[in-house]
This record gives sequence, structure tokens and C-alpha cells, in this order.
Amino acid sequence: MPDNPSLNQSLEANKKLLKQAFATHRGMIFRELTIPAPGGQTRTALLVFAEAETDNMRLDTFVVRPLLEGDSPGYIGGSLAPSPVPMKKLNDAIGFVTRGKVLFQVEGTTEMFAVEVSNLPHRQIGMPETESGINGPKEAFTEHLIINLTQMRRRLPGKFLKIESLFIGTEAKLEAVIIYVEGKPTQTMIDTIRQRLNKVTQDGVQDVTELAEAVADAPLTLFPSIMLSERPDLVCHYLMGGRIAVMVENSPRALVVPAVANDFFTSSDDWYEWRPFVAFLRALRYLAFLIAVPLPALYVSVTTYHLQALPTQLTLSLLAQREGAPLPPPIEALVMTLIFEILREAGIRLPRTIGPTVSIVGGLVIGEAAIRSGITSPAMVLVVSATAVATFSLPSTTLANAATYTRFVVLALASTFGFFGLLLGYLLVITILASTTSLGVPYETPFFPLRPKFLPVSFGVQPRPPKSTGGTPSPKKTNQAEDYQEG
Amino acid sequence: MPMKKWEISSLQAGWLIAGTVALTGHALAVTLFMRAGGRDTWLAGILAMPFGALGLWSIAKLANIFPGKTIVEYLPKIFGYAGYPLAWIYPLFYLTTVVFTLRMTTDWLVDSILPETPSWVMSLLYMLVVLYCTWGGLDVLARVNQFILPLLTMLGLTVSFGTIGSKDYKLLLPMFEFGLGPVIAVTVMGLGDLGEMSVAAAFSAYVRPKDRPKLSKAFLYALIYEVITLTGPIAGSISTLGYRVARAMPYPTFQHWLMVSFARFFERTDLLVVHQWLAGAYVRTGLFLLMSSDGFTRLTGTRQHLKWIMTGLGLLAVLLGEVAFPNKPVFDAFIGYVYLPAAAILGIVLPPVFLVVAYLRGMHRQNKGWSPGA
Amino acid sequence: MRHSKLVAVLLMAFVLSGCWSRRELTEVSFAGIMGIDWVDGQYLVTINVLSPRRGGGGGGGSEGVGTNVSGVWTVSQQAAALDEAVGRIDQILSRSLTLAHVRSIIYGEEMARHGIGPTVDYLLRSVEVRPTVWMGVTNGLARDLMTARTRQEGALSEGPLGYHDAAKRRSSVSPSIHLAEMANILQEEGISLTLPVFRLANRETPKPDGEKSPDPEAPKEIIFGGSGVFRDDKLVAWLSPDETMGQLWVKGHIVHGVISAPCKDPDRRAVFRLRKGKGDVKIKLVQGKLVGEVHIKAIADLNELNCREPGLTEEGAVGLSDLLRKKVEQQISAALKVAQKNGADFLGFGQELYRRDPKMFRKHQATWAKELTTMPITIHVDAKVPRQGQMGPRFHWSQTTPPPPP
Repeated sequence: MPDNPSLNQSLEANKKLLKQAFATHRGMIFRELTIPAPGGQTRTALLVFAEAETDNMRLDTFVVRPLLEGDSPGYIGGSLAPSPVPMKKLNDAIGFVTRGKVLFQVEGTTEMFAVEVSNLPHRQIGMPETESGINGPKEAFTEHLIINLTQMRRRLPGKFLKIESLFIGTEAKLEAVIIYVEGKPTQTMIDTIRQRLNKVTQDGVQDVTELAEAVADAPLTLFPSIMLSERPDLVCHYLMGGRIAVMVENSPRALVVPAVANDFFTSSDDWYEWRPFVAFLRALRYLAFLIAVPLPALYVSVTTYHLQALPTQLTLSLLAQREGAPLPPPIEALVMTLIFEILREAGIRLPRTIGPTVSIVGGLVIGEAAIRSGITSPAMVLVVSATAVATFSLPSTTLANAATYTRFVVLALASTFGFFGLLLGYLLVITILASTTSLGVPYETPFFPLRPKFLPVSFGVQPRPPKSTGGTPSPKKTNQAEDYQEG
Repeated sequence: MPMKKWEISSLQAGWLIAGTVALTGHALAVTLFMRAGGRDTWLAGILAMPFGALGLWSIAKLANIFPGKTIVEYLPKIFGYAGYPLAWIYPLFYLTTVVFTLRMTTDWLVDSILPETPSWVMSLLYMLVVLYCTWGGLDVLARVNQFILPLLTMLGLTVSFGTIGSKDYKLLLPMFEFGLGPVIAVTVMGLGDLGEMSVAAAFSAYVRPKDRPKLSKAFLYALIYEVITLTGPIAGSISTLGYRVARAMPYPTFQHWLMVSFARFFERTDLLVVHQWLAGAYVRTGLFLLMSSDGFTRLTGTRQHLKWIMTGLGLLAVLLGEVAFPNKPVFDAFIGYVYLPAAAILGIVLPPVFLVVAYLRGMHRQNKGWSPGA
Repeated sequence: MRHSKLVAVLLMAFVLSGCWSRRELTEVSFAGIMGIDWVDGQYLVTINVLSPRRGGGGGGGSEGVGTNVSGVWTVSQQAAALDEAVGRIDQILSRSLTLAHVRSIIYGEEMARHGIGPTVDYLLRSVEVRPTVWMGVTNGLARDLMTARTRQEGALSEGPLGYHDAAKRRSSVSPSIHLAEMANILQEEGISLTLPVFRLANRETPKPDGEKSPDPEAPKEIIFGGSGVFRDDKLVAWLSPDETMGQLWVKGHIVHGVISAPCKDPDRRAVFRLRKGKGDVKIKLVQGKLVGEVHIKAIADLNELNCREPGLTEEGAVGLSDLLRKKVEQQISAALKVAQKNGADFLGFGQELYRRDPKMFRKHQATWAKELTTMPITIHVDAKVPRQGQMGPRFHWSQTTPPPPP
């Protein structure tokens, strides 16, 4: 038997094939109807459907009754409300049936059709949880692709919203869609995305994040080069800005590319706030990042290597605090930062109602106790907690994770080489930023390479790039040659 | 891995020039400058500027005559086989620049910031980070530079404003006390500083075609920036420290930074100086290393091994920086009597000659139909 | 691929690390002030070690946390070279000494008279000593000044810096000069150095008969004001605060401060608060002879007035500015007299000549100190008193004389 036999056979042959395929499938129903045929005769029609995934009412209304009434002389599908899809291959048919479609074939023909009668349980449209905001729409995506697409279409009506569908995986194929606004992203960008998605061989993709590696220019970038959003309104904003969204069945989030660094400093409310205030917030978040990454390293290098770099009064005050502290500052910083990370992790694991309490109380109690017992100095606690607060203020969790990661590296470098190490860390981070690309767009785009027209967007003064720029910094317009496929 | 992503824009080319060459005059070789020029050292940049402009203009022109060709490729075209020895000199010179920069940087680090750390460790680590950047290619380096340079400039301006209280520009008087001799001497050194711009002859090949005609303009801006950064810090340190003190110090511009004081509290600017020096030397080392290995691989036809050759050259530079010069006077003599004159000849004297010869041989006409961007 | 390289770079960093140059905060003693004396042909270096604990209210353990009241501990050592002496001090201290936080360096009188030039090399060469360290000189031993108990808490740990700031902000009683400036003046042609003076109060005042001699253990005061005049690198004279002001006028360093001008009645005063001062030195060749000129612009507000002469405060009257002008002229000529007497050109006539005409200066350089003593110098002061505070004319308090007519 071939791997994926054709279904263009007689009813009996097909029935045998399907029986064989569904031998170990529970709740698969094979039903044969006797339906009127032209010339007063009768013939058999085969229905194959899954019990649980099918809506019986719809099955009855849309398939069984029309067939029995025989008001479709000669050919079957004509009057069926959801138009039937011809099935060519066995595997496709299996995929359809398991998604709640019904297969039917009429005796004497060699074509099998599938009709949508599914009744798949799914979550209702809910509130966004990770990207909740004060202003703006309150809808979030669900796990149901069709519903998600409905939400998008509702927000961008008209013909210019393009949704390309493709199936990813080899065995258990799942539907993925590429969404973009016509004429905004360059064709090469769309083609690249399609190629990359087509290359995905993983079966059973459960969430769109699993596609991130496939879609990104390089796997495992330190800084996130792909945006994820659970809010249709934000995705629509991005689409209007010339981005491309990818969604997949069963995933309540959309993946948006290209993403540049500035996007991760943008919070969902930025789209709906008073512009000057957005600019201020944006600046604050950049500042927070600048605190979150190097602050412990700076403290350690100053107190361990470069005692001349502090003002005298501050030095004496620090000296008084550190008198009798058992751990050298680098170890102290490492321990304190690790404890903080553990607290944070603990807070996430616990139920939402007590999580923050544990973080705050744990932080307070442990910090206070550590100072009292002389294990650590107040300045260190201050540094670590300032770092923590700064990390929390970053709107993107992936960016916050990258900041945490980078912080440890920079801290280690500064602990061993002081300012020299700190600067090495800084240069490494700059280099990593400069060599990251997202769909061929350099990661730090409006800043380096410099694209002055996009600067107001990055500073939050304008919501969207001016129309003349075509919406997004494209690989063609920046210095990146068109060889981004090589990743 | 073949490197296809090397393309840069004319703006980035200009920034690269501005960001890499400035360091020699006002940080790396500033003592040599001061010893030669005394109180009038700050004139070096201004006086050398017209010559620098000629050299850079020639380089930009040559890049347009031989589109997509680096200097090691078009020299043999201009001079035939006689061009090959010359073509070898350029990558060698770039490598020397790497050695020079590394050595000065680590010397300064040991002298001023980390007195007990072995210099080879710092040199090696620094080189590894530079290599990490250059492995990414010219475009990555150009973007790094676009981030670093504005920051450097901003901090530099901060210093020039921060020290304004302790500046006394009368310390620049009298001018020409010892006649024109020192001024000419230091102008020659200034030419050497600007002559390092010959690195543009190597990387202007990677400027994307449609930007090539804009190169000379970008270079002009870079030159102006360069002259400002050469003049400003030197004039600044003379007018804060006095030229004799400045001349006696190995790192007068660093000491000049230490004079900065903001509101009595923020008067320790060590970290900022470390940033200025290391970030400035970063792009510089990276660019010269990249161009050196690029030149060597093009000459030997080993471009597929570029990364390995680059790594090898980088480590060689670390080694040379550590062992080639036994002490500071020898090093200073090398820089003053060999390196800077060589830079002046390679970057300022020779490119116009190349251009003239290329014109005489009618090479500018060969590419007439090959309009840039076509 | 790239990431493996990144990891390799980082691993290399940590493998290579030996944590060189590490000096922890708690392993270091910080010097706050450095005194340099010349005793028995050797340098006597005195260092005030800053300690955060002392004066913190007697708390050990965790109570010491957060205390930043400075106490000081003074250590002196004698050696043939500065660094040697510093090294000996380092041996005494339990923690290694750093000079990175030295705010002031004070020369003792003997040191200053012996010549401070040789000390500069060490101070400039050291990585730790900053070029912005404030310099000063004291009459007597710097060690005595630094070990003196004063009423002000921790006066000498932060004190002289405070004085220097005060000199800049409030009064103009002393020049403020930092190390780099001093080094430059010592090398520069045609200018002499002046350093600010710290004195211990009552040190040299003779005891009047019948009065009890002051208790040597009693807290003393450090008085800041005036300056020491150097020729080359040797101290040759002291300037009183008034004379110092004259010098500061000429150098244009006077910005703030109070100036008290006598009226016709020598017991009465008009006091001005300075608003702006600008000074300029010129030197000209008149009939083959060098002639110096001093041009001053002074702007001051009236702070106090008890002169009797009428019409001083009236509009358009020049009486007040005349008083100011005369006082400034007097201060400058007093400073000038010291300069000419000692041949110490701290007003910078030689420097001016050098900047104008280096060749001519070279001709005179060898004999400049002598030439200065006889050089005619004219003083031009342009004084203005634009504001008179909250009062118009002088407050008239007399019950017996009628007030001036309206």
C-alpha cells in the first residue's frame, strides 16, 4: 500500500482504506445511507465522521437531509450549504475528519468530499492577560484560528488584508496563516516567511512560539527578534505598519516580524495614550534597560577595582556599610541577584493572588534580614532591588529575560576586570545588537543604521512611520543586502 | 562561510572614517604630537586638513574609477606587476595600526586603570571581542560604529563644556614662539594621523553602488569631524594643563578628563574615559583588522578562509603588541619616525599619485559605461 | 556558530582571569589630606586617614551601618623621598593606603621655603593623586595643622576643601589653585606662584601680660585667608587677605566677596558685595622702557553704609563708586608692592610680555625679577555700584540733627 493512497476510487475501496486507517480510532462512525438516485432508483452513500467533533444538527441539516431528499440530481454537493471539498488523498481526508468534518461518497462515483460540520469545543474571546492595558480594545485572541481571523478581518475590513494559508508539519498538518496588508511589506519578505514556514517539519505544533525559531533570521538570538501578541488590535497596528503576522491553529497569539529593538520597549497602551507622555514613558523604559543590565556590574567594579571613581563621602558611607561584610562584592552581587531571580521565579509559580506577595514580602524580609545579620550591605540590596524594579518595568518579558541574562555576563566580566570588563561587556552587547537582524532588517534600525524618518516613531512621538516610508524599514532600504535567507 | 553581507552606505563609510582615525591624534600619539609641536600642536589638524582632503578625495575618486575593487586590486591594474609590492604594503600597514592601537590601549590601561593586570590578558581579551565583531563583517562593524560614535562625540562635548571653568585659552599664547619649525613638524605628524584614512581605500569598495558618487562628500564631512576631534582635545588639554605639563604627561587628554567636575559630586570620570578609549579603539582595531585580512586574502586568493586569517592576524597583532617593542621610548620612536610618516605617505601622498596615473592611462574612461548603480 | 564563538570569548575571559588589581573597599585606607614638611633635610609626610566609624556615635556591629560622619586619624613619616614616606605610612596602616581621595595637599612653611618643585614630580606621576587636588601652604608645620584639634568636627578631613569652595563662592580671600594649575605656573614663563594659606589661630600671638596663657589642649581654629608668594618654587613672602584681594583682582579670579572701603572719616566704612570683577594686565614699551598697566572692572552692590558725607547714594553721584575704586586701587598697589619688593611676578606682567612678544621676553628673562622692582605700573580701575539694596540713602538715626531735606 502506498504511503498516501489516492481516494479517487470506488466507494468500497475507499471504505476499506478508511476502515483500515481508523482501525484504532475511537468514536469514528461509518454510516451508509440509501439515497434516491435519478430514475427512481436508490444507491448507497457513505458518511464518515468523528462522533465527538461533529455537530449532529449540522450534519443532519447540511448533509444527511439533502442527500436523503435527493434534490440534487446527478451530482451531490450542489445544495449543501457549506460547500464540499473534494478529497484526493487519504491523509488529507484523515486530517479533515479528525477536525470534525464529514466525509461522504456516493456509490458509483470515484470522488470523496468533505463538508464542514464540526463542533469543536473552544474558548470564548476573553480579555488579554499578558498585554492588558488601560486603554484600547479589550479582546484577545483565542485558540480558534477562524475566530482569530474574524477578529482581524473585523478590524481591517476591505480587500487589502491578505491572509495566506499553508499547512505545516509532515504527518499532523496544522494550518498556519501569513497575514499582511497588501503593498506594505516587500514581496521578498513575504516570500521568505512562506519559505521558512514551508520548511517546518515539526509535527504537532502547539503554539506559534514553536515557529519562532523557524521564522527568525538566526536561532537563539540573545535579544528577541520576533514579537508575539495576543491582542488583535495590536497586530492590526503592526500590520498597518508593514509587518507580517503569522498565526497557527490552536495558538492564541500571533507572531509578528520583522521586529526591531524599539518594538520591545513599546507597551500595548502606547498606541492609545497621549503622545508626549508616550515619549516620556519610552525614554523611561530605555533608561530602565540601561539600569537593569549594568548596574550591579558597575557597583562591583567601583567597589572592587576603581575606588577612586566614587565621590569621597559616598566612598566613606559605602565603607561603613561594608565593614565586616563576609562576602567580597562580586560574590555578594551574584548571590543577591540569584536570590532575587529565585524569588521572582517563586512568584510566578505560585497562584496569582499570592505570587506578588511572596515576591515583595520575600524581598523585604530577606533583604532586611540579610542587612541585619551583616551578610550583605544596604547598598547592595539597593542596587539589586533597583535592578529588579528596572527589569520589571520593561514591557516585554523576552526583553527582560535577555536583560537578566546579559546582566549576569556583564557582572561576571566586571567582577574579573573592573571597568575594562564592564566595557568589554558593553561592546559585546553592542556587537550582538548590531549583528542581529529580523527578517533582514537590522535590529537597531532607526538608530543604527540611521533612518531619520523612523526616529519619531521610536521615540514614541508618532504612532506610525510616515506613509512615504512605506511603513517599515525594509531590508532593501537599509544596508542589508537581500541575502538574509542564509540566516 | 562566504561573507556577502559587507555592503555599507556612504554615510556609514564616512562615520567609519570619522570614528576610527580620530583616536590617533588626540589619544594614542598625543604625546608625540606635543613633543613635536609644543604649544602649537593644536594647529596640526587644521594645517594638515587641505592635504588630507586631497588624499581622501583621491581615494573616493579611485573608488569610483574602480568600482567594487579595493586598493590591493586596483594597484596592480594601475601599475601592472609593479603594483603588487605596493599592494602588499597597505594590508601590512593596516596590521601595524592594529598592533599600535592594541599596544597603546593596553599600556594606558595598565598605567591608569588596572595597574596589576597583565597587559597580554587585556590585549587578548580585547582582541577576542574585536574578532567577535569582525566575524560579523563590515556591515556589523559599521552599525556598531554608528552606535558608538555619537556617544563618543556627546561625551567628548560634555568634557569640553565640563572643563570650561578650568580652561584658560591664553595658555595657547604665544603662537609660533619657536618659529615655524615645530608647527611644520607637527603638521607632518598630523598628516600621518589623517593618512590613516588610507583604510578608506580598502573599504570604499564595499560601499553600495548607488552611494559611490556620494563618497567624496561623506569623506569630507568625516575629515571635518576628524580635524575637530584632533584640534579640540589637544587645544583643550593645553588650555587646561598648560602645554609643558601636558607635554610631560603620557596621556594628557586623559588627565584633561579628570579635570571635569559636575556639581562637585560627579567629579570622578574614570569610567567615561575608559569608555571613550575602549569604544573608540574598538571600531578602529576592528576596521583595520578587517581591512588588513581582507587585503591579504584578496592578494593571496584565500578569501574562503577569511575568518581564520582574520583570527590569525588578530592574535598575531596581540603577540606583536606584547613583544615587538621592549619599552616605551622604542615604541614612541617607531610611531614617530616610521609609522606616522608611512601613514602620511600611504594615505596622503600616494593616492593622488595613483589617481593621476590612472587618469593618464585613461582608466577613468574604461568604466564610463559602467555607471554606478547600473 | 556565532554563539559558540561568543561563548568561547566569554569562557576565555573567565579562564584568563586572575582578578588582578583587585582592591576591596574594606582593604583600603583613604587619605583625605596630605601634608608635606621639610624637616632635617627630609620630607615629612603627614596623612589624614579618613575613617567612617569614628564619630559615628560609638556603635559597633550593625549599628555602624550607614554612618558617614568622618573621623580622621593622622599619621606622619619621614623619608628622603615622598613615595618612600608614603610607603612607610602604608606600613603603619592596617589597610593599604590610597591617595585617590586626597582632596588637599598642604605644604609646611619650611618645605615651601626650601622649594616645592621636587615634590611635584611624584604628585603628577602618581596614578592615584588627581590633578585636581587643591594645594595650600601653612605657616609652620603642616603636621601641626593637621593634628590640631579644632572645634569643627572633622575639620581637616573635609574642611580645607570646604574652605576652597567657600573661597570660590563666598569670599575672595585666597587664591584656589589645584595641582595641575600649580605645576603649570611653576613651569610657565613670567608668572609666579601663590598658594592659599591655612593658619592655626593664636599660634604666634604674644601673650599679653597678666592674662592666662592659652591652654595648649584647647581646641584651635584653622583660619583660611591670604596667600604665600613664591619665587620660582620657593616661598618668599606672605600676602595679607587684603593684598591677596589685590592679586585676585588683577588675575580676574575675584567673583564674590565683601569689600570694605573707608570713608572720609577713617573710622567709618562703606561695604560692598562684589558682583563681578575683571582684571587685565598690559605691558607696553614706552620710550624703550617697559611700562605695566593694570585694568580692572569692578561691579559691586552696596551692603552697608555708615559714612557721613552726603549725596553718596544719589542718582548719578559717583561718590560710592569712587570709594570702591579707591579701595580696589589700594589693594592692588599693596599687592604690587609685595610683588616688586620680592621680585615675584605673581601678577603676571612677565607672562603678558611673553605672550605678546616671546623674543623680547627672552631678552629680559634673566633679569626680570630685578626689572620688575623698578618697572612703572599704572592702575586703572573702573568701579560701578549699580544697586544699593533695600535702602536708599543712609539710615538717619540722629535725634539731634535734622534729617537731610527731601
